[in-house]
Amino acid sequence: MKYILLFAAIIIGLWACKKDKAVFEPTPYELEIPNHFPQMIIPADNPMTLEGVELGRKLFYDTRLSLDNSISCASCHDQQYAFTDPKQFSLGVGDSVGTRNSMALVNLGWQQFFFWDGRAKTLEEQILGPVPNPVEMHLNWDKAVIKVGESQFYRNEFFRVFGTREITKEDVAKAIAQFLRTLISGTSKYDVIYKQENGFTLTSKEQAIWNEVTNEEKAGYDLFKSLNGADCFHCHNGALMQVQKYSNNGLDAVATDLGREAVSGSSADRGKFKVPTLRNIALTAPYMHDGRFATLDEVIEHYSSGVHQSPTIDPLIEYAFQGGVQLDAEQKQLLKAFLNTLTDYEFISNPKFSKPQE
Amino acid sequence: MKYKLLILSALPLLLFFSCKKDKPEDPVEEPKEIQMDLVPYFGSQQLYLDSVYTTDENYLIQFQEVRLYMSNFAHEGRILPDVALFNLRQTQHAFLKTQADAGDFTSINAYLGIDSLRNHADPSSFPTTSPLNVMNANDMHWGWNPGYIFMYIDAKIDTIPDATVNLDHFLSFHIGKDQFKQNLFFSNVPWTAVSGTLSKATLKLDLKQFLYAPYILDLKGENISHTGPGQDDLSLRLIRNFANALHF
Repeated sequence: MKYILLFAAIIIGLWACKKDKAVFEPTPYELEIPNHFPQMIIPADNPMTLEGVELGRKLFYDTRLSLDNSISCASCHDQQYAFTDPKQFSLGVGDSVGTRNSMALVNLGWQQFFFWDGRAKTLEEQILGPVPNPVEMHLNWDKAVIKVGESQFYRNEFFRVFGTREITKEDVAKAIAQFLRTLISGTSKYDVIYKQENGFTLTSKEQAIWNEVTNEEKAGYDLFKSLNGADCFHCHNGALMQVQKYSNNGLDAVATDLGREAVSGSSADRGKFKVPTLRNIALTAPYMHDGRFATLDEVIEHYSSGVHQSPTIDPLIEYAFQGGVQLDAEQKQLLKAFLNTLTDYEFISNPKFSKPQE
Repeated sequence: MKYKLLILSALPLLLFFSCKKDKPEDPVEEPKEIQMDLVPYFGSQQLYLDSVYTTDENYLIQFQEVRLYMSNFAHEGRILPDVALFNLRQTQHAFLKTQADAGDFTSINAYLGIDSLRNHADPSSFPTTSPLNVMNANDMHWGWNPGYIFMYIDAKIDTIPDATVNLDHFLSFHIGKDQFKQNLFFSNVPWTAVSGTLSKATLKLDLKQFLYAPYILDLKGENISHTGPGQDDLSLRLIRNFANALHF
């Protein structure tokens, strides 16, 4: 009897100690794309899976991707600020400082190039940048994948997602890219204005939001779209509130940062930067590639009276010859009221995008 | 005995049929395709973006963007569903490639611009491969109400004929809206067969002719139109000149 009990105890102990066996059976992930958005093109070599998105989310918030485990991607892309950083220049490892403002991570699945100067053509390629960058996470990728691979949890998760026990930087980037493609913002007041304006059938919830749109916000939108008003819509329009292009928006008469020219080598690109989306713009201060403007008021003032002419200034800034569109005080307030409708509160509080539990 | 002879005579027939090879299927005819490229010129010279050309007034002109939409390609009741977007900086001379028999399109009617129905449709709803999908249209789409930009030219000019090059004057011609859509007709399209199934023709856009015919543009004073209020007259002259500058 004693031997039987002993034998049973050993068996039970072995079962209890048995590790979960990771299996490679990825589950397709269905993106929730708003009905007024275009289809998102997913790269054929990185299909979205539930496991991949969850792994990417964990990696996005994991500080082990930095040299001294002090910062993660989320350190400079904070959900409460629409995945950007309220500092003019984010602090990297050892409080190192770069020269460009952290870009908002939103609707990335529709972007055609990445970084302010467009030096990355895909999201996966973009993600490979910050980890080894000495003013950001400052960890070379060889060491980064070793650190990730030291974790039994990650070894299992990478197997679940990619079917391989060998962790590579490319797979780290793919997982994070899958998570980032889920960061879709399309439920702001502006989205309801856009739908109403363009004949979409509004849900009862959207109808209630439409009923709350103020006359100031509507007037601000008219100004936003007007050629003789604020004239913003050439570069910021549509459901995504941006166009895919580089532009010199008249910040300097002599460029202080070459911008796209440093990538293309063409002087015709001097001082040109990626046109960012205006989604959640009220939350993403400071503004411009170098975070020079602390408030929306300063941005509006720039386009109103502070535009500098230069050989590469965007010809769409039609009133550059007079310093800008010359808005009066009331127009500036109306425009700001409209810009505030671009805040997507569901996006910044969505628990699916927040730091996962340990 | 009779049965034996019958069986003996049937056997060769059976052998013959059993050895018979499967009859090859009729070959599937590959669909025919047409490819239309578009090459811009400045007079007799091929035009390149960011290069400098001289106008008849001795102005220096540097084109930065040349783009256009054409739609509703048709001939004698045959209509192509395709829309063609030309964007010199992004896709060089590529314009239209589609399944069609060149023999059916010896002449072509088309719109410079987009038909009204599609011009005001949801730009997100077109297939991702369509030039009308908002991701492909990009800044060639203003919004649902004004629709797409039919012709888009950005250029810089130097209007002071002296020894220095100072391209400090902008041209920005962005013309859209239904009323400015132009009917085009090209007779005797010079298709060239480049393979058994593909025929090719090259459409030319003479941007020097665009500046002068049928209307002479005053580049000093008529340098901007976004088809906005008060710009109808200039917008119409610009798009008529542009349509006139297209030929095979």
